[in-house]
Amino acid sequence: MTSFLMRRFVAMIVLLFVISFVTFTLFQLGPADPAAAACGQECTPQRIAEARVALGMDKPFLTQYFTYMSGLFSSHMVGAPGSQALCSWPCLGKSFQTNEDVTTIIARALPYTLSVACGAVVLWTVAGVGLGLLAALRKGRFTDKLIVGGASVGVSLPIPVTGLLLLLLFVSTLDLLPFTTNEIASPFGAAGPGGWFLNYLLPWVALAVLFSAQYIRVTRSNMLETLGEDFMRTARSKGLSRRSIVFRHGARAGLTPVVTMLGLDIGSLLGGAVLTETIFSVPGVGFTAVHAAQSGDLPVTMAITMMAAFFIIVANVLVDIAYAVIDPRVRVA
Amino acid sequence: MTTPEDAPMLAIRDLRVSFPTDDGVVHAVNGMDLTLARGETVGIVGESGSGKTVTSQALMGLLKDTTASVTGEILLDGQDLNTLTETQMRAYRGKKIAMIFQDPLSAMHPFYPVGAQIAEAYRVHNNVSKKAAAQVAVDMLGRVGIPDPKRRYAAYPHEFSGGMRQRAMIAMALVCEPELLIADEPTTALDVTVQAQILDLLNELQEETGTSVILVTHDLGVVAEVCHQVVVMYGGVCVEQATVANLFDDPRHPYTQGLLASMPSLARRSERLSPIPGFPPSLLALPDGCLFADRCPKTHLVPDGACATHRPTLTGVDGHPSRCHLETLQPTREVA
Ligand SMILES: Nc1ncnc2c1ncn2[C@@H]1O[C@H](COP(=O)(O)OP(=O)(O)OP(=O)(O)O)[C@@H](O)[C@H]1O
Ligand code: SF4
Ligand SMILES: [Mg+2]
Repeated sequence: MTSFLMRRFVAMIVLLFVISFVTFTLFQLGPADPAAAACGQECTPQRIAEARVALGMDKPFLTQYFTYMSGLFSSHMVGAPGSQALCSWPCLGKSFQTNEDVTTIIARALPYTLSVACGAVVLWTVAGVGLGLLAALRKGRFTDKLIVGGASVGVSLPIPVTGLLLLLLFVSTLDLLPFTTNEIASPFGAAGPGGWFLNYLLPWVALAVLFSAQYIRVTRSNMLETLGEDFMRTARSKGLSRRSIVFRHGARAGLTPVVTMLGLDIGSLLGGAVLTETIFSVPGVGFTAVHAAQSGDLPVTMAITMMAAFFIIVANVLVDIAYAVIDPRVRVA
Repeated sequence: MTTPEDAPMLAIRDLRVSFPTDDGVVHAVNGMDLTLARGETVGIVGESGSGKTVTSQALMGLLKDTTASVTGEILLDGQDLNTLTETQMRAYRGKKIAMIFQDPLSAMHPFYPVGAQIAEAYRVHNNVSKKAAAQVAVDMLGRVGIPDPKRRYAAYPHEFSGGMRQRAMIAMALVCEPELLIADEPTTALDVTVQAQILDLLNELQEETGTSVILVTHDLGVVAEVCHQVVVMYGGVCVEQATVANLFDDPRHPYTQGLLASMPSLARRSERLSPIPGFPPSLLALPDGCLFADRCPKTHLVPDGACATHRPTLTGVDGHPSRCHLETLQPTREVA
């Protein structure tokens, strides 16, 4: 088990560097010229040349990459000689738009994204797994058909549609909930847990409708498969209670694929729930990335892209480890 | 509950099982009869699809709370299991009737250590601490011949060899000292050499504990070696029940005669039985007459074409009944 963990960990570090290098390369090769983007409106060839020096683009490509990555481990000076400014650790460059450290911008956005993610994950896991289990146990009956029907509607509802409907109903028409405000980033702020909860309830529901529908389907089909397994018949032959059979024996095996799905979904959600954040005007990571991309703020876009990739890779590794903990057969491999 | 000493421990009377499916109703078991005395081993033989597994499942009550229809009597010590609810049946499963399956790898939970699964089986019916149950499980692993049981307790099913896994399954089934053990083709998935060891083990434990055993198999060689009684199944019914000696010396049912005739020698086993030309009847639309009529070489001996029109009943002498019209035509047949 220890060597399994070690191997996964080393592989993860290597992969993280590969991904960062690929992302960096893609942004350098991309259609946008960072120097042109950085020098702003009135660009003269001379100013572009200055910007190239300021961005270190006159250096060899590999040097640029290592300079960029070294910012993760130490503070350093960025900008052209004479107009240099300190970019403090961990540094991923400065925004072309506001000249702020990119990491400061991300750190400001992250709590919003975390707020959206954590509530949505809890909501869709409870609803998706719970209803999926129920449907599997009531297979073919009315409850099952109702849940499966609901899930088919849910998976075909895109987040913008659900989001706008929710806003229209609960905010505009019924006036039950406040419109999301960017003043509440966490449950520990002035608004308190209650204010935080109400503020994020609609984004959570919008995300959860789509995701629980998917989780219902996956949970139901995996549970049905598991219920037909030989070891479930053995469990019943032992004289175990229905609860033991379904949960200790069935769910333990049938929900393993759900764990994978959950890990990966959390990973990608932390990189920003772009649609949800945009519709509800939550200034999270996804929202920030979209704005940065629209205004050509390359350092911000690139840093968020890398961060999103990192979250997905880390989630992958955590899922693998969780799998090994759950399923002893995986540990040998 | 007290029962007369001579009453059979298990009596199955006119058991019928059918499954509604999209294609129609599958009549898997169509009036099965079987008796089993305490401490004896009965072999159930029959071709694939003859209803051996479905009969075993009905015995375990595994068809309760499903869409299957189960009628008839399953008397265990005089108690009709078929009238019990799922909850009542739970007290019997594992405690009075236990079962082992063909493929021990898929029959064990892949995520729990083998020992823990045995201990769990013990704790269902015995109110003891986890620690005490673990000790029982270790002892049981030792009794079924697993070396170093203390260490093997914590191993997972995939870490066992096929034979050791089946031993562990047997340990799990016998841990509550059931009165009846149903073994559904317990050796089919194993190597030939291991098969013999498992059968020896079953024999040994059977003598030691006095448990009655139902051994489902394709293999008449296995039957000859370990069983006292044999039940031959065809089309979901018992066509003949006899002691092993009587069945081999004096097979009465034409199907049994066909089976025996097709056996090259008793030493050659592990061969699936499909010796008689033709196919079993469709379970979706059973014939009115004898279920074996399509393939039977003796229909001409029965007058009035009764084989095609009348279903024979299980009749016969000396505790050696056969389900064939010829039985009633020859009431004075010689007894071998
Ligand atoms: N749940 C079910 N639904 C519908 N048909 C079933 C079901 N279970 C069994 N059957 C059918 O009942 C018949 C008897 O099956 P059974 O498994 O008892 O045969 P078997 O004698 O054990 O055969 P084998 O030697 O291949 O194990 C088969 O035709 C099978 O397809
Ligand atoms: S009843 Fe007729 S068809 Fe059936 S086994 Fe006897 S002789 Fe053959
Ligand atoms: Mg079978």
